[in-house]
Amino acid sequence: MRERWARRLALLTCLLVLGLTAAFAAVRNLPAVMAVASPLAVDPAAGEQADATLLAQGRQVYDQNDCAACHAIAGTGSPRSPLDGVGSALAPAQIREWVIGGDSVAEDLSPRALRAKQAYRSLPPEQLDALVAYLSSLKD
Amino acid sequence: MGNPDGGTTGRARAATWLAVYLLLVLAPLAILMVGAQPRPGGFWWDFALALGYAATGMFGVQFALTARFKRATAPFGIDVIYYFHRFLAVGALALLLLHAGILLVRHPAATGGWDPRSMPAHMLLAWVALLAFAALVTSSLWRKRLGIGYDRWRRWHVLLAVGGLLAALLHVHGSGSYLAAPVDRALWIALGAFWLGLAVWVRLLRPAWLRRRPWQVVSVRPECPGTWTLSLAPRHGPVPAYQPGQFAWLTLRAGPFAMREHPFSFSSTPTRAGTVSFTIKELGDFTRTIGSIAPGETAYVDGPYGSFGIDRQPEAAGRVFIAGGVGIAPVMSMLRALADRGDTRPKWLFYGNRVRERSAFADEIEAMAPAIGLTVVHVLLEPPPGWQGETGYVDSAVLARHLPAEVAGLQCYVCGPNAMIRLAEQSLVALGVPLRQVHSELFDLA
Repeated sequence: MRERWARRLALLTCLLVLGLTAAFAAVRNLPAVMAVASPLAVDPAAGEQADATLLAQGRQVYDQNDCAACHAIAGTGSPRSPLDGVGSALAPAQIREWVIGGDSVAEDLSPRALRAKQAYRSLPPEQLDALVAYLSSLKD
Repeated sequence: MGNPDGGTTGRARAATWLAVYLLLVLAPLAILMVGAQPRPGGFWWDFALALGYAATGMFGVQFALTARFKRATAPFGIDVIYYFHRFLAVGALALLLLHAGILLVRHPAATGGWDPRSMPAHMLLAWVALLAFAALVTSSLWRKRLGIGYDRWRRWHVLLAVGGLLAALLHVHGSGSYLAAPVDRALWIALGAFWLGLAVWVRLLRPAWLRRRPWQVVSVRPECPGTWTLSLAPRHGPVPAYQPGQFAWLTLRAGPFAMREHPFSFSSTPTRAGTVSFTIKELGDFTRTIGSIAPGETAYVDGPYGSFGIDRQPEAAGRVFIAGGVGIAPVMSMLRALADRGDTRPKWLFYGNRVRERSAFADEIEAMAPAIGLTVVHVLLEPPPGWQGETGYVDSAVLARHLPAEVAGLQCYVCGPNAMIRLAEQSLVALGVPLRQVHSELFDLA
C-alpha cells in the first residue's frame, strides 16, 4: 500500500515534468515568438558564384570543425541557429565576421559563443576562405 | 502518502515537505525561464533539452531523499521514502533516455557523433552520466539477481550517483543551451552545489560528527538459532532519546566513513536507560559476522530515524502487532515500553515464523502477556507434529479468529518481509480497519 503511494507520486512527478517540459517547448516555439527571435539582418549582397571544388572544400571545413554542434543546414545539426539562406542575408565579409567572432558582431554573441568562434581565427586562411564561400552559397 | 501519521499537524507537515519536494524537482525548469531566452530550436529540440535539465534535477533530488533528514522523512516513514527513491530513479532514467533518444534520432549532427575520441568533452560527459545512471538503476533494481553484495553495492551506488550527477552537471555547463545569461549559470551552479553538498553532508560531515561520538558493544547474546541481540552504550554521555519502534544505522568493525552502516530497528525500549539493543538475524554478509562481535568493540550508531511506533498514536483503543521473523525487533521495543508504562489496553500479537525454534523472544513475550493484556498468536509455516495453533500466513482468516468484531479503534503495526506487509494490510482493511491505522516497517530496505 505504502509502496503504491510512492509509485503514484513518482509517476505523477514524471507526468508533471513531461507536461511542463512539453509546455515549455511549445510556448518557446509559438509562431509569434519565432518571429521576434529571428535576428539576422537582411542585407541582399550578391555573392559571386564560387567554383564547386572551393564549395566542397568549405563544406569539409564546416564538417571538420563540428559547426553542426551549434548550427543547422537543411535541418541537419543544432536547430537553434540555422544557416539556410545565410548567403542571401549576409555579405561574405559579414559572414567572415560571424565565423570568427569579429568586433562588429561581438555584441550580438553570448560570451560563450564569442569564445568558441574566436578559436576559428586560427584556421588556415584558405580554409576560412573556403568556409565563407560555402556559407555564401547557401541562398534562399 | 502512505500514512501521514499524527493527525492534522502530521498531514500539514507532510504537505509542506511535498511542496518543498516539488519546488526542488521543478527548480531546473524554473531556471530555464529566467533571463534572456536563446533562439527556439523547434519543439522537439527544446522539449529534449528541457527534459535533460529536468531529469538531472530529479537525480539531484535523490540526494535529498536519502540525506537522512529526520524532519523531512518523519511524516512519511523512511520505507516510503526509499520506495519513492527507487521509483523516481526509474522515472528520471526514462526521461533521460527520452532526452538522449530524441536528440540522437532527430538531431544526430548536433550530438557529437559516436566516437569518444573525437566528440567534444561535454558530450563525452553526457555518455558518462547516462551510463552511470543506467548502471545505478539496474544494479539497484536487480542487485540480488546480479549477485552484488550489499556493501559493495552501496559503495558503487554512492560513487556512481556522485559521478553521474557531476558528469551531468558538467555536460549541462558544456552544452550550456539555456545558460547563456550569467544569472542562469549562477543559479544552475548553486543548484548543483546544493545537491552535491547533500552528498558531502551524508558521506563526510555526518560521519565526522559520528566519529566523535563512538559507542561500544556491551553484550552479544543469541536469541534463537541465527539471531543475535547486540547491546550497545555510548562511550561518553547518555543514550540519545528515541521512540519504541524507531531504527538506527549501525556500523561495526569499520569507521563511520567506510559506508558500512546497516539499518536496524531498536529491540530495546527507551524506558530502560543506559543501553540500546538491536536484534539481528543472519541474512547476509554483514549479519553473519554478528555472532563473532565481542563486548568492548567500538561501534557507531546514527539515529534514531523512522516514524514507526506506538508513540505516534497515543490515543489507540487497542493495538495489533503483526511480526514476521526478525520483524519482531521493533515490536519487542514497543511491547517492552508498554509493559514498563503499565499499559493495559487490549493488545494482540500475530507472530509469524517458519518453525517454532526460530521464534525469538517467545518466552519473554509469554511472560509479559498477562500483565499487559496481550493475546499472543503464533503462526507457523512448518508446524511441528501435534501443533494446535495457527499455521500458514497471517491472513484475514487468522486475524478474524482472534480479533474482536469491532476493530475500528485499533492501531496496527506490521513489521516483516514485503509480502507479509502487503497481505497484512489487505487483510486488516478487509476486516474493517481503516488503512490510516495500519502502520508498517519494511525490514529489508536493500
